[in-house]
Amino acid sequence: MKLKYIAISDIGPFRGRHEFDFSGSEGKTGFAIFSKNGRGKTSLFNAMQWCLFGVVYERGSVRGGKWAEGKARVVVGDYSKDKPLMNQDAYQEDKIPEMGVFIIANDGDKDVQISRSAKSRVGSMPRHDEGLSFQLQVTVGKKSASEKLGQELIEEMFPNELRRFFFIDGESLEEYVDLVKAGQVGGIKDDVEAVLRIPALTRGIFDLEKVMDEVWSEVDSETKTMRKKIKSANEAGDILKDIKNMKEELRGKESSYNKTNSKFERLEEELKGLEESASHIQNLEKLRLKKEGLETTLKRSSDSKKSYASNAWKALLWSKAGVLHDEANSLMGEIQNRDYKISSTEKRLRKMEEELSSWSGVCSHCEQPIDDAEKHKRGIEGKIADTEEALSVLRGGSDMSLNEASSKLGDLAKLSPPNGTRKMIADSNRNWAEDKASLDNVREELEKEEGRGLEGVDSEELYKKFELRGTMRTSLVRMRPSIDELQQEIRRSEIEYKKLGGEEVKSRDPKKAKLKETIGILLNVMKDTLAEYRDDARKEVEKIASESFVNIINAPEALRGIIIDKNFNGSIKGADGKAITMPSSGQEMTMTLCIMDALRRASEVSAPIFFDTPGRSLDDDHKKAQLKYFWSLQKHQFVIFPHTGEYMIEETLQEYGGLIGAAWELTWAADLKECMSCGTGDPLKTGSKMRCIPCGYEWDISSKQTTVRVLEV
Amino acid sequence: MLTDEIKLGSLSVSEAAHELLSSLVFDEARPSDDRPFTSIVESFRFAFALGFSLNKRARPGSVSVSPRQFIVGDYDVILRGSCLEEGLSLGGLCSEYAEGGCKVIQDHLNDGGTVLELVE
Repeated sequence: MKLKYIAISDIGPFRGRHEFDFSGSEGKTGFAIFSKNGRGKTSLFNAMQWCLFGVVYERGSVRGGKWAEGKARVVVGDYSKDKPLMNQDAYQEDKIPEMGVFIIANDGDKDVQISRSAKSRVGSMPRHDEGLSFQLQVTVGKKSASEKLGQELIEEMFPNELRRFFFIDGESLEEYVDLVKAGQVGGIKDDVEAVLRIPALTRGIFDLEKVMDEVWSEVDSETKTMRKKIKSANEAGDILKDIKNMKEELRGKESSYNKTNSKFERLEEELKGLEESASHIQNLEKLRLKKEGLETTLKRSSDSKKSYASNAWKALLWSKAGVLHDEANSLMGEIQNRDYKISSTEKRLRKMEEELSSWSGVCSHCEQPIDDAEKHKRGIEGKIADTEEALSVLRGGSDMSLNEASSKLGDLAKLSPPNGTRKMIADSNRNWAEDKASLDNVREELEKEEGRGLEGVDSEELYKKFELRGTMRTSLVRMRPSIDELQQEIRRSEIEYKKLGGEEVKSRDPKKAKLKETIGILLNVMKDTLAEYRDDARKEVEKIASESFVNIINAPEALRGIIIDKNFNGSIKGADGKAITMPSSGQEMTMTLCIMDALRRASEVSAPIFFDTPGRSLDDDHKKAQLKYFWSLQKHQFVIFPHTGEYMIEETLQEYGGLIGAAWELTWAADLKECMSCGTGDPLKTGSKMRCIPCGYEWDISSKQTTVRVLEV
Repeated sequence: MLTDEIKLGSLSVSEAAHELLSSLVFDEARPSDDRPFTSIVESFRFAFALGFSLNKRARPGSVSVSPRQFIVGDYDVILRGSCLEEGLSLGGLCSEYAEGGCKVIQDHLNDGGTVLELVE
């Protein structure tokens, strides 16, 4: 496909319609669109992509060893952050904002027209792309189609999966270099597959694998179903056995129940009309039970009484012994007091006797002669006599010793009852007496009731029958739930048995198993073929890329081409035929461009190449060599979008004029160095306006709308 | 204790008293009966204590009571005076009190009372 004409409307900084005419450049494949930053190079680059593929992606990058596109750009949206494709003034000012690209080209001998537009269907300033109507109209030769079919027509000429080899972004290229270089997982394998249209084949393999999976799943499912059925049949057999056992058990239980029930019914019949007797019997039973209870109570109180009675004699004796105990206690105190008095009196007496026996008439304290000594001696003798008399009186009292008194007190204490004995005896005796009275009453009542009897009725016999009836009723009540439960369990088991049993176990479908095997073989063949195909392509790409590289670098003595190894990693071949270890960035960039070129050429797709910021990261020599090589290719149009700093306009046009078919410069009004009216140079800038002094023409330079200027080549 | 100065003597009661004392011995099978004592000696001790407390004495009979569980010496401390005064043995005095107690019990039972009410 070769471009003849491009028109863009309201895209990026291009307000209104702008045209690029590629016609009249037969035989020349070089095209250049120069501009400073912000004038619309990349917008034009994107406009071409959008026209051809309906989508523009943010700059791509290498992620996880593979090339990954950036996110899709919006046509309209928030201009402060989303970088929408539509011209901002058109979006904000037009009642029905619209942007569009129109391309005229030819593909061999067929004329091609592509028109893509995005137009608001909600009036002014649609908030997002859902508010837009997208239209595509494509004509190739005599074929004409729109929308999806139109897209298919485009991609027949220009496959989307090869887009990145034809739309080259200089900035992304630096990352692509990293992908190509040895060390990355997979290298350019995906790209080689893309140019060989292998993705389609890979998709075929994938689809076939999916088919095989489905067949396998069915075969597997059949096997599982068969296993399940066998398992079910076994389970059904077990359940049937259980059902038989349960039914047998149920029969036994029902038989027992029925027997008991019929006996019960006969007994009920027999006891009908004997309600009075029944009441009598119930009363008897009640009294007997009461009597039993009271007997137990009485036994307990009798035991208790016996226990307390063991101290009754002490309680009785103590009425007198207690008095004696108190007396003995008091006597003991007296004896202690008397003994003390005797002891102290004897001591005093001994002292006085000693004084008398050693009498000398001299004071024993001051050793001075005592006045009236004789009178003093008689005084002492008198005191001794008095003391002896008092001692005699003390000794003449009770003849009981302290030990004897203590022993008596101890003997009396042995007769002392524990505290509260009388009360406890009285209480226990009263309780026993009350229990006894209650029991006597019940016994009397019972005797009366038993004596009452009923005419013609053997109370004992009747009582036994009533008792039997009660027992049977209890038995029946207990048996019923067990029978009901068993019946329910049988019903549940029968349902389960029906669910599991009855179906024949079919063998699995042999055709499906065979089909799976066949697809497996086919898949292996396809995968092997693909591997061979890919390797052949690798060698072909390596050969083409090497030719280009040698051509551009032009140093055959040192650099002999490019190596693309079996891991699809690229390297530069040195003089010794091995990969050089330290290539320059320019050499690496050139290698990458050559590999991309080789991939593109191997794809045999003939389409224009668009290269945004092509001189980035290249030194002057490599930049020149690159342009010279690519603009010399006759098969592809090569459109570069250089910054005016990368490639100087004048120099480039002068040096490569023979290879350039057309060139344009994108400018703003402020960039103009010549009068827009008369073409005179050096206009005068006055504020936001530019003025041509010779003709007086003035123009606004505050506008940032891009103007396209055709350069003379 | 000066037990050597008085005789210990033996224990005995009348037949009627012995019969009464026997009827007061506990019988597990007859909880309704007023039989609060575990043995005849226990009954005897109760009767003696009752007689002593009420100062009721009576001439005992010839039916002897086992002295093994009724140590008359234990009561020397309360009976010594009377024994010495009356020239009685301890066992003799105890027996007299027990006989007196039995009469009190019998009278009380005859009046419809219970044995242990006599403690109250």
